[in-house]
Amino acid sequence: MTVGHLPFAVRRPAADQPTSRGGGFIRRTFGTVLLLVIFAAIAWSYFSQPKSAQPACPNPGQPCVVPPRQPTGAPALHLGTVWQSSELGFAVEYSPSEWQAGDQDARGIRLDLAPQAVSGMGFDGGQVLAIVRGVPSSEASPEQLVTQEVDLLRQNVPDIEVDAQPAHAILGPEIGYQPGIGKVYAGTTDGSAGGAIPVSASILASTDGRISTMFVLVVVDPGAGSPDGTLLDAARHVGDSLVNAVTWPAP
Amino acid sequence: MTAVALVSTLFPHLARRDVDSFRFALFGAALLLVVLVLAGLHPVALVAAAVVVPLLMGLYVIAVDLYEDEPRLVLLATIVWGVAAGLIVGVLIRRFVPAEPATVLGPGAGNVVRIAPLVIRGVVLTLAEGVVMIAGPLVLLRHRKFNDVLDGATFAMIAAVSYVGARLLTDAVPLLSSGLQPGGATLPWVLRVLSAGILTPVLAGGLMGGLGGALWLRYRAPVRDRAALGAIGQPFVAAVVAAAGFIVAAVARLALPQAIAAAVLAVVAVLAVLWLRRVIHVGLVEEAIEAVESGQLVCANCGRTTSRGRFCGECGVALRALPKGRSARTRSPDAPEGTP
Repeated sequence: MTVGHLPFAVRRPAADQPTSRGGGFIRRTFGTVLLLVIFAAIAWSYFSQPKSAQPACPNPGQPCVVPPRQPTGAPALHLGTVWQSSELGFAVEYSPSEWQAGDQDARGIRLDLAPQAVSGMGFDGGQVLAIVRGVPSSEASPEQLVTQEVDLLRQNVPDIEVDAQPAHAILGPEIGYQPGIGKVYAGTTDGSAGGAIPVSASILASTDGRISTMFVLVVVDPGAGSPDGTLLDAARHVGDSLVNAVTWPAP
Repeated sequence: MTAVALVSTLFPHLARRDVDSFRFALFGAALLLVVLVLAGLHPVALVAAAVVVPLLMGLYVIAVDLYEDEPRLVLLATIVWGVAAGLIVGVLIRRFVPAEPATVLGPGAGNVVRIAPLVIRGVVLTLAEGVVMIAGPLVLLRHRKFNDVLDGATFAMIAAVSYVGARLLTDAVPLLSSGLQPGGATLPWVLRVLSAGILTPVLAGGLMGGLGGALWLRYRAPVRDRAALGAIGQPFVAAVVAAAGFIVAAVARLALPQAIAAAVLAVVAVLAVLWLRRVIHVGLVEEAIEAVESGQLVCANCGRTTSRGRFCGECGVALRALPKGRSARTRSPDAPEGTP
């Protein structure tokens, strides 16, 4: 309709409006566009996924992981902050410029990698946190501690599963130089819009016969990259120093 | 209990024969999303989920051809607003707001509830996003041409659905680099994809459509209709109800286990659709009355039949500006052409 040669919008009665296109057009267009989106997403995913990493073993035949042994009898040199379990006696030393102490109780502490430390390593986003926790051995074995922790993680990472990628396996798991077990899990947590953000959790547990201790390293958005590698690689680097800084109570 | 007619509520102007096509597309897409999850293509399923309802909304705009001469520009602009705002806000939130849920691993054998993420992400950000969603449609409130409750409900609903789709894309696309089949348990992913792709846009569209309808009812609809929706038809009350709906859904997602959060989301979505349904009913009644009232008349200037309004559709003269002696004569809509 026009008014004085100018277009003028007129609404037709709503009760019986004919459509300008048929139902076939709707179904065809919807199906075509949806399939195009799916194929584009598949192509994007295929071409953007990181290539499987190989462990860096410069000398063939040389073991990749040979953890250094703590010198015995040497006095402890504390350069960072020491947190000690008031109930169980184990302790962990951390750099306060790197790790921020969070919730804590008599048996454990949560440490969050400071945002400045994350950005200092060249990452725009992502989160890294570590939990150090102990229980008397009579309460839980290392295996039970791992199972309990996975159940807790499942509340925020509902699809958590064992991460079977060889590149992510923990070789020679130890807490404070005490051999134990180590497992890696992966999953996703809900994004702010209902989407998903990848999460990686490395869980180590060990016992000295009197107490069982667990170390959890959680990395949110582990695939976040910088020129030097992924956030998971960097988090494991700093987490390795932290797990080595756990000290067991004297016999 | 009255069945919640989802498709006819989200797409109120559809002709009956097209409702079946949209219903087929919506439920077929939901099935396809589940198949993608079962195939382990979780990130792909999430990206597809982000476009299902907004794509249907775009097709709806094309299909109904609501306005004859300024067809889809306004509605497409509303979609563009929702998509652009969703992408920008999504990128900003990913960059500056930690993804930490409200319950986090604690030092003991239990999770710790944190108030700060609940307040920041569950309340402050949720309200801010609601304001962004309705901001685009509010610009159209100034135009007297869009003077029906149905206009407000449609604009707000389209903007909201487009917004949440774009927001989900900002969450889903980075996940693509995790690989085609990054792993993860199946059932949580089915819940996540259906919640994010179907329930969330339905909830957002329902709440914002209800709010848009209330705003148009108060500021654009005929005075006689203003009490048609009761208390929830008042803009302030509608805004509070919409905000409460968004906050309940956001806090549930942040603090509750996934299955319970999805159930809460479903309940809020059903309530939102019922609200929107009521708004649309008022809008359709309003349109029906308009159609009956408008009738036709004979222009006293050119003598031809034209729709009742401010101007003659044939010669363009302002009908009310004619001298009293030459005033237009009302004509029955059934009367043949040329009959007074």
